[in-house]
Amino acid sequence: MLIRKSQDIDSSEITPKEVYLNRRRFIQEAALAATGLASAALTAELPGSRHANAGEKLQFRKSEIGIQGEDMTPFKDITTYNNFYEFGTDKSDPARYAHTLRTIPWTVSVEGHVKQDRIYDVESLLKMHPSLEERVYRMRCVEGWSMVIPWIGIPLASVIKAVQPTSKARYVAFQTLYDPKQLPGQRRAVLRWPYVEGLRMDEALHPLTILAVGLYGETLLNQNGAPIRLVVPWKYGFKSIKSIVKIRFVDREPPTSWNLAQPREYGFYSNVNPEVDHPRWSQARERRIGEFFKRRTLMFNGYADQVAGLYSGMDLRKYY
Amino acid sequence: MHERMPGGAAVAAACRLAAVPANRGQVALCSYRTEREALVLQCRLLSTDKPSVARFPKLAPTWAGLTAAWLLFLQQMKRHGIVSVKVLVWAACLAPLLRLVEKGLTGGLGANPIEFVTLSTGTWTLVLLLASLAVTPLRHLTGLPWLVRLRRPIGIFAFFYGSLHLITYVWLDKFFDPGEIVNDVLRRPFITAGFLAYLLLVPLAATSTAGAIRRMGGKRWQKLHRLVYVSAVAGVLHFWWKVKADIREPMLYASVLAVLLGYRLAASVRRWLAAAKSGR
Repeated sequence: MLIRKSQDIDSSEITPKEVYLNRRRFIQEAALAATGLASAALTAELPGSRHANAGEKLQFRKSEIGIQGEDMTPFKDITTYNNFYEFGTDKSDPARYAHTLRTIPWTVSVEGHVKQDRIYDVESLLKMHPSLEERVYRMRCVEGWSMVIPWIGIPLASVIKAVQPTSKARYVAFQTLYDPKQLPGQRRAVLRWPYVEGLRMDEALHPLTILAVGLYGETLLNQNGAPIRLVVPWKYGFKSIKSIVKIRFVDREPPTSWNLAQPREYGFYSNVNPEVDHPRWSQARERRIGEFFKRRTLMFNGYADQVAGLYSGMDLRKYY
Repeated sequence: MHERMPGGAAVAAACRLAAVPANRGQVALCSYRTEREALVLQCRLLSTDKPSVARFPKLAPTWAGLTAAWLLFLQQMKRHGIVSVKVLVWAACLAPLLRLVEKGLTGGLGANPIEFVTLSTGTWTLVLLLASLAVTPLRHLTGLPWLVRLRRPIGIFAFFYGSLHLITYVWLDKFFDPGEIVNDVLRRPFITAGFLAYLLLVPLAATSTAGAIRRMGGKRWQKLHRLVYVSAVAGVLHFWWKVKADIREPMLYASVLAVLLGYRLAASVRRWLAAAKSGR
């Protein structure tokens, strides 16, 4: 029997990945230069930046912060099983429809009680920390499933220190992009758009809290909240707001989307807590994606040693 | 006329297939009914260029598809008899299960297979429950008495998918933990509703045989089987209360159920009025 290898395309004819990715970026940057001179002025230094289009390799160092000894959830599951209602409410919708989101150019407005209101491109935010870090974190969804994800990002604290909030800043409010053309789920009022989230200042400054731009060593895919998102591993997943365009320092507890939708079911804090049930289901256990049996949910998603102190003296049943 | 409507061509094709005359989009089903009234009704139901359909040109292909399916269904009945139609119904009812098995074997159930199976079996329970409730109104509207013979298999399949749904919950979600299950049923309204919806189907499934109808007597049997209305309402509530924010789908089921129950209500009010009149 003859076994022949297909030789239709010589390997030397295949465009190397870097080349075609660069070409794609070149086209996008050309479009940027042609269409948005104003924003181009704000988003300096795109060429050769660490921040790039979805699915490109990133330079990072492995952080000592994070978990070890738990199997990471496969890339395919992390990128096909998502809650990102801006693209539809089915778990498979974001992977299917998120291609309409354009992440280059992208700017984040930092404003409120801060030394200077300013618009940053993602690259200049990332420069506020010496290097990108890989953090392997558990992610627990309020619906009762969980993953282990190797995020790439920088501590939010580094950004906060660099932009210098004033003494009035007690909370940080975040906002997702609002553009029904790019985020077609926003055409229906499933939630009040744009999606908003918030953290208390000490939560935002906590070393576990990061702004992520990638996972598994590559830039985020749109369905995971590209180009930049929050990751707060001891809180339910919906606190980790995606595709951020605004960070605002405020003096009072900011509104948050799920709390606005169902105040009795989703509180501002939304810390992972196996003892405080969601009114409609138990939070005592979770199904780790890829596992058959359920696991016990850990207090603060297993980060109690690091974060329990933030809430000492607080009644966690009241502040759920 | 067919050219104007996107779905017209499909209807024409269906008419050719089913060997019935088609005229200006009006589909005549004269060979199936003798009663003139029923015939006119069907023509009105199936016409694709009536104003209500014409107003929504996007729906025309769907409408034409439904029309075609209906015509083929009637053709099947005419040519091969009720047994062949029952085979079709069985095949349609088994398809969701076969699809699940196929997806399970090929890894197509996604990142959270147990959730997928739970949602899928729950959905098909509701769909078949509503389908079984649609049989009687459809029978009246079309004047096709034999449709009632499809009600039992559809109802039994609704119970079958409901059982799969419950087993998935008890086994794969709760791992037979009695404490947790009792706690859920008592304290979580959406589970209480779902559990009630299933419980009410049990006596109906148990008395679904011809022997049971004979033993109970038609009147009593019918009375008992009205429990299906309560079960369907509880089932829709179960779905509605479970959803986090996007209520489109439960709303669709609720609307269909409202139409099906509303039809019955209107019919019984009419009967009651007629009885009151003649009694005077």
